[in-house]
Amino acid sequence: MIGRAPLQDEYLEWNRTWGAPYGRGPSAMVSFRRRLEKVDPDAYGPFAFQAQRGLKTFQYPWAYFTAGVRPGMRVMLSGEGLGGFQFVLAMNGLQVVNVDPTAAGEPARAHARINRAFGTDVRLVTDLSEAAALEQGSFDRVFLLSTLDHLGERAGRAVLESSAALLAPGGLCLITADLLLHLRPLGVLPEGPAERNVDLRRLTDGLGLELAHGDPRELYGFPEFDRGRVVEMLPEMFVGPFYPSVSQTAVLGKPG
Amino acid sequence: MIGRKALPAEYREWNAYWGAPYGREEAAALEVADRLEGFDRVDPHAFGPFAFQLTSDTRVFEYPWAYHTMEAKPGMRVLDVGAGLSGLQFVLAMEGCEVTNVDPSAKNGEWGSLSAAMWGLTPHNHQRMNDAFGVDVRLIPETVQDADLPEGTFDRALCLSVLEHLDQADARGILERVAALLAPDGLFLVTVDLFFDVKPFGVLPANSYGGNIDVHQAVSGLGLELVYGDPRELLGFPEFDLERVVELVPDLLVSPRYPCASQALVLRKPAGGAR
Repeated sequence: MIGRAPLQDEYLEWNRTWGAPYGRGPSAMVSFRRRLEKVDPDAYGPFAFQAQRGLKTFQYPWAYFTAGVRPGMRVMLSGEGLGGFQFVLAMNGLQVVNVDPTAAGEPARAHARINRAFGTDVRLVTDLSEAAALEQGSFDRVFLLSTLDHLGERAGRAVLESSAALLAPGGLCLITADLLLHLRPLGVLPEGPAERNVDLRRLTDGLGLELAHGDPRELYGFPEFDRGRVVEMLPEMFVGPFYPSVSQTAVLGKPG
Repeated sequence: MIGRKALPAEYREWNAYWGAPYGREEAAALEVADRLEGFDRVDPHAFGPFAFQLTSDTRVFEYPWAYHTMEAKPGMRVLDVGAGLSGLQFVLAMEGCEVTNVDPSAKNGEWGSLSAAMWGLTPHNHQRMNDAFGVDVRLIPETVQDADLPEGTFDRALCLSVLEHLDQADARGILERVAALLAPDGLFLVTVDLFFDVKPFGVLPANSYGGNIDVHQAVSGLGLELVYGDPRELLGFPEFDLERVVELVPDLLVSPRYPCASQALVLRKPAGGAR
């Protein structure tokens, strides 16, 4: 499916509780640099440390409520950077691993400061060989939130293959993929400077995972994808306020 | 025309000299909000006049294009519509122009979804910029339609990436008023963002920043002559060629932060006044 507007009440309430996705009110008057210099968990909340394009307003609560997470679960996020979702999951008693090769250096030091401020223990993996050593079949949930649309097809497929291997039997892989309204097949441009409309069917086919949630009419690349229907339904969809996109969502399950 | 990715050498040199459009290297470690908050503790000259406003990436083209195309000379009266805290007004003033910035967002320091801290245009901040750069740009916190300004007195007028944020009627209202304020033989330089997510390129009727206005409708019948601008690249003109624009996209300067390019045109008021 594609995320709809207005958001459900429980999504709005969840966003309010955690200050998602931009950080709590007081952080709006403080630059990211200053927020990261002196992390104030109460004033800023866990979502105040990474800029967002706006679709996460839908994606974070969707992922939270759809994943059915419970304390003690092992979860992996890919490319989450300093995003707040990982810290929320950790505060809810989950064991969290964030694999993000782009977060080495200063971002990793900032990540450690946020961990300390919120009393969490999210493991940040920036080294690919360390990522490759993660125990296969050990994660109950894998989150790929707006990750695939920033990767080329080969890299995206590699992330999904790795995610499928890391999932425990019965585990779920939750995917959001931005559908960019200025790019083909909706707009006239072939691709953007750092993103593209990825063929979700090709990326997810043959992984040994089952589509447990998601409307193929709203997942680009699936034979059932219906451009005309998507365009017609745009007024009902949650369109990113800062970048022209809507959010495709899918859940893939690993057979138990 | 639409701004191209490959900038002429003189544009690149001008940007490098003034630190346009994001501010000089010395400012890069601070976000715009911090530069303004710490204004009294930083060196505005080291940061450059363009360091104190968030800016669209298409300004890489728009500022040097406007500067080199307008051929401003000391003593000229320049009207800059919706200039915010952008650096060009101060550059022109430093070069001896008498500059008036008419911007209604100075009333409350806010612009659209950007808070005062991020946008920063207040009379106080504007005066601090004036003081720092030793100039006297006049700020009028009104719409240009409401501003009490003498007609037929401005040698140059600028309206850079403003019209796309307005509806068609408001855009027309601005242009009509500027046409009246322009002196005979005066030039009016306009840039208008062309959004690729909005019709006729995309599927949206408008986006959160505005829409694709009909440039032809907005500028027709003002008594001004189009002296610069390729009608094939100006939306609404009969010659506008969508397929050609799409083909040209690899050569166009498309903002990496939002999919838009910059239409640029110059209108001239005939020496005998508006016809």
